[in-house]
Amino acid sequence: MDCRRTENLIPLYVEGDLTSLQARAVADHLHVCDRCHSLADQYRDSQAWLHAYAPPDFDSAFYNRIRRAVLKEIDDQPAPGWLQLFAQSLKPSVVFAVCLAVLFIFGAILFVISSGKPYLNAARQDQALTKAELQASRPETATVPQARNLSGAAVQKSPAARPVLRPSKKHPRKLGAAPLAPETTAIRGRQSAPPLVDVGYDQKIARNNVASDETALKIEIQTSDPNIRIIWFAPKAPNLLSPHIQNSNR
Amino acid sequence: MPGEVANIALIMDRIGPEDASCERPASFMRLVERAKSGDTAAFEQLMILSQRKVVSTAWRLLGSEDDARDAAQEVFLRAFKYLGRFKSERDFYAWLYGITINVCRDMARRRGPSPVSAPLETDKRTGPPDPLASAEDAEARVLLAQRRAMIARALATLPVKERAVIILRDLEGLSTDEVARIMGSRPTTIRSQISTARAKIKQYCDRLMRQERKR
Repeated sequence: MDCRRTENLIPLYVEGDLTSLQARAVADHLHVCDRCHSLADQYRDSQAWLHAYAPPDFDSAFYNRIRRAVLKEIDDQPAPGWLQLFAQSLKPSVVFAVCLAVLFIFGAILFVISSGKPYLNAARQDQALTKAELQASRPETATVPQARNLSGAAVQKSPAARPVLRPSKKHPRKLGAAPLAPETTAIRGRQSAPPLVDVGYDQKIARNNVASDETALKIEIQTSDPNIRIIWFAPKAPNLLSPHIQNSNR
Repeated sequence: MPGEVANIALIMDRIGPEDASCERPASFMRLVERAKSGDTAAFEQLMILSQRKVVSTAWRLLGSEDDARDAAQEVFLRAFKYLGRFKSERDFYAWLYGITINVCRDMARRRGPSPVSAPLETDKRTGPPDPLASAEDAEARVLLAQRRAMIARALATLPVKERAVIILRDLEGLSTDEVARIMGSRPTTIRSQISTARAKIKQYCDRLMRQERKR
């Protein structure tokens, strides 16, 4: 064993804190190294001084005062209730673990609630749409959105002035000169089992609903995003729809 | 009852703190169980049995009689309060030492750092010089008092953990494993702290002795 290693072990060697093997190695080194031997003697001296650091001999009156003060304090304390006894018997580590678990559960519930909101909103939207469809399917009770001008004011029109959508004679594929008035659309019937319709933009959409009467057509398209549904009012023209939709509509 | 306490104290002193956990007398354990159930008389007997250990440890850690008394009171109050948590298979004294270390650490933190730069003073315990004592005796007493003061100041320079470890190991005579259990550390960590603390105390004493020689 070299001097450096011995110097590190001497503080433990002088009080017998080393294993027998280590102690023998240090002792062997001390026999041959005067410098380390002298260092060990110095440690023994300082340890002897340390052991001399004894407390004063306190008299019995000193201890009596302590005991009386403690017992008086205990007597003055109200008797602990069962809840207090239970709390005292709990280990701090157990209390900490329970608090952590409660926090985790609470956080998990909050997360589920907050992440579930979009679905709830989508469900509400679906419900609203269904209601609107039901109302729209009854012509006598259908609510009609009012036409508005640019300033946002409602435009009043007499029933006679209401245009009726008819296909133009010159351009049968285009809409008539008069715009389609939504209130003129009386929607009847529905189509089931919507096929997928490719509308471009690499997006496949499902054609949910096609409802029509003599003058207009309402097409509802549910996109792949459940929150987006396209409702399209179109004039009923024989060549307006693609042959595919026309076939399925029939 | 006092006779019983004296008998238990004699047995416990003979066994020593290291072996107390494995060879505790049944009467001592009965006393602990009675105290756990709220018997203040039994708790007073426990205080009588352990007061010297608690007070001496507190005095060595805090360095003052008043602080040691306050700390001992707090230690026993906490012990009574948390006695329900004490497991019977553990060593009662080790548990009490743990409370003492915690209380003294709290008190030292509240009190702030100790004044270690004070000049060396003779120990109060040496008292007035005895006119009949020889000159050599008087010199030896003064030397002993100076060394005690020097050790007190050296201990005050140590961090609280190292101070607690060296007091429990070297002055209270506990084993390294017992100190490790009290401090909630590994024995290797405790051994390292003990080694560091002994080296620091030696260096501090060497420095002071050199300064004294220069004067």
